[in-house]
Amino acid sequence: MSARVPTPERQRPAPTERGLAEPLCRPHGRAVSAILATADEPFRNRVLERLLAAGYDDLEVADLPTALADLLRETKQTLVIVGGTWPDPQAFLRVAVNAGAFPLVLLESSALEAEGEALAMGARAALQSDIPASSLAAALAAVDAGLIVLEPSARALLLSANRDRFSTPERFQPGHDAAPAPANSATNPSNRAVDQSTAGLEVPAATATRKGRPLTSREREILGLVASGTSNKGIARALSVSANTVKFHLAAVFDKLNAATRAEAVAEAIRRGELSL
Amino acid sequence: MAANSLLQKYSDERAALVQNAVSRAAAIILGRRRVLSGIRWRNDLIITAAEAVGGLEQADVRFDGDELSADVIATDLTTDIAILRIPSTSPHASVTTDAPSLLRVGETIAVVGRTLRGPSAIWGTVQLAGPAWNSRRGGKIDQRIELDVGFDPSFEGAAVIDTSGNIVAMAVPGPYHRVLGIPTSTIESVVAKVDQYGHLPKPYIGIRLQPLWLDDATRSKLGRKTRSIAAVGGIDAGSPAEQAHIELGDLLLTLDDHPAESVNDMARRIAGASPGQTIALEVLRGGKPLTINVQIAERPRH
Repeated sequence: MSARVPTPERQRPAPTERGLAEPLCRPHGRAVSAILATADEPFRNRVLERLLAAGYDDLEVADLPTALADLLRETKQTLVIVGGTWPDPQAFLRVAVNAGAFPLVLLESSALEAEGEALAMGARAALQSDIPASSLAAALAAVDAGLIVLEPSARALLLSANRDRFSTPERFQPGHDAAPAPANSATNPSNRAVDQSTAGLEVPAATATRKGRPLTSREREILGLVASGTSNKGIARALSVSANTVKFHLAAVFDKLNAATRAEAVAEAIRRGELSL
Repeated sequence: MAANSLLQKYSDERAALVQNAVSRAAAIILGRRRVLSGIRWRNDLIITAAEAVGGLEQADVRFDGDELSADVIATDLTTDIAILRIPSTSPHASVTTDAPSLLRVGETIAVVGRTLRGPSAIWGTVQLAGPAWNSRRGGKIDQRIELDVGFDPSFEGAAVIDTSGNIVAMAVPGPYHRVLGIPTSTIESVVAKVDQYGHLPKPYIGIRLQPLWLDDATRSKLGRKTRSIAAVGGIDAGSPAEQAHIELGDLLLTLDDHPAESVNDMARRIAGASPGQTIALEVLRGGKPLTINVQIAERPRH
């Protein structure tokens, strides 16, 4: 399934002036600025926040590789952001590359090996997920323009890639078409994690899930207004914040309450004693 | 085959019924990505599915030829009914609600919606016609209607017509890929509330509840069937609950003499009540039952 990011009011200008014919194209040539493809919710929320800050506000989210494949079939979008703890993003990356999109990989750890693998699989950029919003925007623009973006630290990667080509040829091959290899093959994710830790590279502990965490008082306030039937704009007016802020808070609320719809979020918050009847 | 064959007549009649409903079919444009159907209920009101409308305040609505900007004036998540207001242009008779009120299982119906490419319709059968029911969100819905129709997302919010051409329900997606019909009479009662207040007031008493699990001994002592009981975990300042002196830690036993089975059950019952109505809450406080009358208010909107 694909989750829809609440659509912001401010729409990015269309690349070409379509004039009166534009509404007719609405359901088909769906113009979204990027697709965020990840199954990792904490990661998704952090990146969403920065993408919104960077002005990418017309986003689609795919939480399964199949959902990404569906989205890529129905949009003309080429910018796909995949990420999380390597090798989780691999399946998304493969789908994006096969569909001819320009995937940008955001990695949770600073493992150069993972960066190399991502690039070898066809990623247009392999960056750390804590990249500032402004750099992320610049990277997206560059990838959109057909360039490949690397972090400065990846210089070492380019150099070591040449060395490795002669010593361990299978290292930078995509996981699925690497030849079956000996004991510590890079094709097996669990083995790879062992490889990394033994190589002295940090493997981040599983990130704490946001599910089950209590709502903040602001989130509770917003959900109360949702329950009263107030629109996002109405909530924004009532709290003197922007509609995008409301949407951001609501995305966090939906995530914490594991809800896909407003009604579900309200019902779940009542069930947890977070919202009054 | 003769031009006036039975098959021809059957087809003509079906097409004529749909054609008649098409003038009420609206396409609701929620953004560049989502178009659903709606029903022109009166010359100034459009009905569609609340869940799809979500938090929007405005939407574009398209009919034959013209496109209008509509204000979302009410969304009722409990019944999945959203009401949109458009500038009233051509006079349009209201949907009549004096049609035979209950659908029968096996009855033939058509779902008539609109896409940006034009009106769309599909014929199907009433697969299930049950009694009135309460939605999981607490909405009182006058009849349980499940439809056997090939449904795609553009039909969400579309009109369901019977073989007399009357609009009998609105089609909405339900759980497990079921297609539900929200009966015309239920829509009419939501429209009536909006007509009365200008918006849709949501019932509110201002208590937060938490479930407490009961062990067997406590359960039999309290004479309860369910394994949990709802405890008051918070009372909003200035709320009806505070004014009625409901206290923290009160355990809810009954609501208007119905056993309060769980937090969900309480939420459903209160969601199904109307502002202004008084409910009797029986609570257990200090081991003793106590009945408290609470007047339901409207959930604050600011």
